Amino acid sequence: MIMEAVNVTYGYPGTTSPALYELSLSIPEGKKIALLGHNGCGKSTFFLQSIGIIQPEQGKIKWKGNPLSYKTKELKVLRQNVGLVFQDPEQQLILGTPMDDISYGLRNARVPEDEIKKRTEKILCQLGLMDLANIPLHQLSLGQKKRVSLAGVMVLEPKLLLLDEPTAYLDRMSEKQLLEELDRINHLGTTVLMATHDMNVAYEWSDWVIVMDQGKCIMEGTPVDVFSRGKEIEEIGLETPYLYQIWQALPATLKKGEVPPRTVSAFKEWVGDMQIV
Amino acid sequence: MKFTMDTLIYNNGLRHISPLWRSGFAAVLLLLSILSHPIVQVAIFTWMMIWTLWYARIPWKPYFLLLGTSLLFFIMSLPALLFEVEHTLQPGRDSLFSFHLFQWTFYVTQTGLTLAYSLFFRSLSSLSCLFFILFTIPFLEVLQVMKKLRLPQIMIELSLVMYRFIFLLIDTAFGMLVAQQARGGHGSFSQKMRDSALLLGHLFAHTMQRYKGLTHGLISRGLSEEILLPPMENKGISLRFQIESVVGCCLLLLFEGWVRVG
Repeated sequence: MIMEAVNVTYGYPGTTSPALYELSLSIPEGKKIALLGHNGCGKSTFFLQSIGIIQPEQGKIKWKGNPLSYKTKELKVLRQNVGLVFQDPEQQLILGTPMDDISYGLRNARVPEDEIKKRTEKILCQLGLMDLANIPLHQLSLGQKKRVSLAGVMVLEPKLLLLDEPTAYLDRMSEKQLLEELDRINHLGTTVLMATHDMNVAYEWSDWVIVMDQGKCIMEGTPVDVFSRGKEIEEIGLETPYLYQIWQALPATLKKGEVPPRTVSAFKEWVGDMQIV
Repeated sequence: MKFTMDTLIYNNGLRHISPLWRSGFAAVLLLLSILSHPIVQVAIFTWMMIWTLWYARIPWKPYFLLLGTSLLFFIMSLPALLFEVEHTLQPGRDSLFSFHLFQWTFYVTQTGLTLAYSLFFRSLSSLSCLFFILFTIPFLEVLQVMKKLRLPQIMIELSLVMYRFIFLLIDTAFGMLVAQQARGGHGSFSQKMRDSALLLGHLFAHTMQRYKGLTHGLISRGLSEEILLPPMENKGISLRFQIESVVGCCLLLLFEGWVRVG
């Protein structure tokens, strides 16, 4: 486990109900994880907890088995290891152009200037942002800003990448590009955790799913395991993915106990095989 | 306006020249235009305009729009500069022109006219120097120059955050205004006042929220004590511009000397 929350309770000052209530969850290392839940279920609060911006009132956050100490020096190391991409890119973009902004985190980490230049250019190329490198940030579209903020975090090569609703408000094309990029980062060894309420994306993309409700973790498991508990999912007001619903609607004689397909193309392939039979 | 201006600045023809040199050049001319005579000030204005419009390839339309807007402040101060008021005009005043309104006499003096005349040319030439900086140096480079000049870090950071927020503020305010109008707001005058007050209140709350978000964002990216700026790129100055600037400044100085003596 790369990160764990153990019985974490936290409430924002001036609110009556806690944002997190005895939250316990663990993030397995090296996987692509989807964190599901409603708006206001505590996902974003958990993210702020995980990089030590706010401290739990009760319970512990553990990084690689060790509880966080909240000492300035250790927090600095933690924040180099855990990258957080906010839902609203405006929250984390500060300098004038993508080129300057992406280098910001590296400069904070006291990386030498020539290496900063090299790494910034590399990430700009990887994310296809080279054409935008010197355009003022406020002239970029939302999708472009999201990619710049992702680049600014990725350039630090974190061990754990946390993304808060990265696909919200993105068109399908930008969403696809983003997911492909996340796959690539994951292949290079980074654990990627994405908070979302798009069940279809979670089902197709992730290989581990965590479900939160009212500040608690209520389910953890593989996508098929979690969505097979359809009733519980619906009880908290979430939906099972379309593809899974279609699969469920098929007669059992057709399915023959096979593992449900997770992508449309896999489903099509399965249907194709059926016709041959 | 601000948006298009930013595009112009980022694509201006003098970007390859060291921003420190450009700031210094403009500062020297600004000093000269404050100390010199109107005729020299006109020369400075013309020369700076050539640098901004020709060398930096800034279109004349936004340039003169901004110049006109800035001169509005001068025009607004004109009545106060020109007119003097007295109950009954005393004999021996150097009044060029006077008229009566109720029991008051308004009159224009030679001193007032000279003052307005010299202020006009001084603002014109100073503005042209300022516009040279404004139109040719992107904001981040201005900050780098500020840092090089060892201005306090807090000042640099405040400017940076203000620059970052001004666009967000315009964006948010505009979005809210459209939303209010779409829902039938801003109809009558009183409604307009009420809706504007509402908008300002929300804008403040929204800005505080954004401020908090930005703080979290910066902390998560490893902000420790200060916002670190990228170092200034080493940019040279072409010999042609060096010669023109030095020769030009010398000629202006000679011209000013000649005006003073003659």
